[in-house]
Order: sequence, then structure tokens, then C-alpha cells
Amino acid sequence: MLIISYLIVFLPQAVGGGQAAMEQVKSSYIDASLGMGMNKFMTFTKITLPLIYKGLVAGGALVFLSTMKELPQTLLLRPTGLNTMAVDVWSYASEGLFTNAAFSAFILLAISAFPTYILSTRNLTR
Amino acid sequence: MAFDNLLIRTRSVSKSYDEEQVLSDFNLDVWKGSITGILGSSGSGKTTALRLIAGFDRPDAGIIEMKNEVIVSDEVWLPPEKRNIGMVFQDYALFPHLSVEKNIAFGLGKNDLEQGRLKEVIDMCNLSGLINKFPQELSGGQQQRVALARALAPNPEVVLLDEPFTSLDAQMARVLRDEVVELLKNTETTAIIVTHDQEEALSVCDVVSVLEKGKIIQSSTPQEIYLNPVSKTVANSVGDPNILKGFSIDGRVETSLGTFVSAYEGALDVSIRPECIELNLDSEGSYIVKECTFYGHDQVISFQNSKGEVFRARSLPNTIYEAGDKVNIEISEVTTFPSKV
Repeated sequence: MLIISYLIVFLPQAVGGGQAAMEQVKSSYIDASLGMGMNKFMTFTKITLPLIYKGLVAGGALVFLSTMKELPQTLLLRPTGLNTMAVDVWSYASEGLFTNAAFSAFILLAISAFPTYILSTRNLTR
Repeated sequence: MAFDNLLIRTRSVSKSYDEEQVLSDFNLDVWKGSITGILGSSGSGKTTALRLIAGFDRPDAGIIEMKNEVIVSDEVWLPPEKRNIGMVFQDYALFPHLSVEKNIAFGLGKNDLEQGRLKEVIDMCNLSGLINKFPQELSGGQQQRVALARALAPNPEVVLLDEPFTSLDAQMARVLRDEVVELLKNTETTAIIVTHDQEEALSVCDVVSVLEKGKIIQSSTPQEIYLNPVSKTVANSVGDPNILKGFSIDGRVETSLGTFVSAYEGALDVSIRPECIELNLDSEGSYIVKECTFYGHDQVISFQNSKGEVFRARSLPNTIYEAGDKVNIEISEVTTFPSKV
């Protein structure tokens, strides 16, 4: 249930990233590659993939980041026994156990830093 | 210049997109070693013709031959990667993630690279200063040269150029045009250039094929096309002639600008090129100058007769014509075609 709801909410984000990436691949690039003797598979690996790669990674990073910190869906739909770190932070904090909350929050931040770093460097190089 | 080996030949090729007929009964001959121009207005099917020859699209019907072998027909299909045809796209289509050097090397096999073909092409196209740059860092003219180098690198049978100079400013276009022609001639490369620019087609090509509504209506040397167009459409596509209506009886046709000899009988279109009309200032003249546009190397004078019909003449810049001046005319050459009913 939780996975389905994640899918519904985050799929558009991922697809959006992929689509933006695909739009950079003009059809004339493909034609040009075919015209120079590359077959379809080689055209995909040498032209299409390198051009969409960054977009796909960015889309993935974005979804990863959003899923990590997502709280309301997880709270409502999680099966018993499953705790995400965001849920931990929330429940410890609501019980006043701020030391425990801080630990989870720190881990959460540390893990999120990685995709955030990818996303921000990508924007800087543009 | 004589060419005697046919490299590409299309027979009755037709193609439509979404029920719109783009090419119909398209017949084109391309001679080995020639620069063949396809001259047509936008929407006449020029780019489609190139795409069919390159193999990016498949015709609905018809035959394409290369070196006397059928490469496209109802039964036969040679995919684009096996045709050894180079193409320079209108938007150049340089791969943005590869450097200039890697773009040019893209179509080269291991053997070519070992034999130093890459350096040869880079030197030939004067690109050695740019090899480490990326396409987005280059000017339009530079991108164009890289695109040509990339197309020439694998020694293709023929290079197709889609409106190669239209996106450049006029001066750059002229410089590059000379460069490209020299390069093609030096390497004895066969080329097909698609363009809507008549001056480009006439000055660059050995053979000009005029495309109109998906059909080649005349294919000949630039001189032949200009001096002996087969129809009003061809005459209009090269130069800007005065077209007069007339009716020929016993080989003589009477028009608003005088009586001329014609090989045809009946209803005619008479084409008179502006440079074939000589104007003489004459206070008794029967024509009145309406307007004069000065271009430097020549000028175009529009003048009208007593009925108010307006014609154009082109003359050298040394005589000054002003609106209202009276002139007489002398016509050196006319072309006549039977009118289409």
C-alpha cells in the first residue's frame, strides 16, 4: 500500500526529469549517427544514453530525497513494525525525547546531503 | 564540365506525410563528382527528398538506385547506416556532449583512425584550433565547418547538405560557400545541396534541379535553367522576370511591350528578364519611370506604360532615373512558353 502511494506521488517527478532529458535529444542527432554508419544499438549507447544520463540521475536523486523525508503518507499507510527515519524523528519529538530525535534527524540529513549535492552541482554546471 | 557516371538515380519516388503528398513522381539524377542543387521554395519537398536518399525515411513508392544498384524499392531496403552517405543537417546536429574532435571522429572506424584520417580531415577543414571545444562554444560558421568535416570524414559516396548557408549572415554565407565548394571539388566529392536561394543554387552547382510541388520540373546546368527555362514556374524561381500574357499567330506574339517571335502558337506567357530591358531617357518616350531601387552594383527601375501596367528593368548604376522621367525601351531577349490552361 505504502509503495503504491509512493509510486503515485513520486512517479510524475521521475518521469518529468526523464522527459526533460529526452527533449534534449533531437531527432537529427539520431539520424546523424545512423548516417555515419552506427546501428541503432550503438546510437543509443553513444548518443541517447550519454545525453539523458544526467537527467535520469537528477530525477532519481529528486525522488530519493522526497521519499526520505516524506511523513504524512508513511504515517497513515505504513505497515505495523515499519518505521522510516522521518517517522522516528516525528514520534520521538512528539514524546519529548529530543536526544533520540536528534540522532535520527542527523542520519536523515547526512543521507539526504548526497542527492542534494548531486542536484545542486548539476544546476551550477548548467 | 562533363560527368559520365550516374551515382544516384531516383525513379517515380513518392512520399506523403499524414495524407499530404510531399513528393510525387520525383525523378532525380546525380552524377558522380557533381554538385547538384535542388532548388525549391519552402514546402516543395526538398528536405524530404534528402531524407529519402539518406534513408531516414522510406518512400511510399518508387525506386532509388545508387551506383546502378537498387537500394530502395518495394522489396529492397538498405538501412541508412549501410549507405555511406554523409549529411549536413540544417541545424548541424553536432553532438553536444562530444568535443569537436570526437564529433568528427564519430563516423570513423578503427582503420581510418590508425591511418590518420582524423587529422587529415581536421587539417583539410582548417579546424585544428577548435578540436577541444564543444559545439555550443562555436559560432554558426564554425559549427557548419565542423558538421561538414564530420560528414566528409568517412569518405562518403555523396554528401547531402540541407540548406547549408541559410542560418548564417550573408557575408559569412558567401565566404563559407566558396570554402565548401573548393573543399568538395578538391576532394572530388559528389554533393547534393538543397536550397531555396536561387543565387546560391546558380553560383555553386554544376546541375540545378528545380523542385516544384514535389516534382523536378527542370534539371539542367545553371546557364540553361536561367536562359532557357521550360516553364513560367522555372523562370520565376530563378530571377524575377516580367511575365506578360500574349497570343501567338504565325509565330508572332503581341504584348504590352512589343511584338516578339515565338516558336509556339496560341496562348503564351512571355518572360522578359529585367536585365534584358534597356531604358533610354527620352522626353518623347512612351513609358514613365515609377520608382528606382538602387543596389550599388545595379539598380532596378519600375516603369509603366500608358495603360498603367508596371514592368521592371535592371540597369547599370551610372544613369540616374527619377520618378516621372520619360523613357523608351529596347528589349534584347525574350523567352516564351505555352500558357497552362
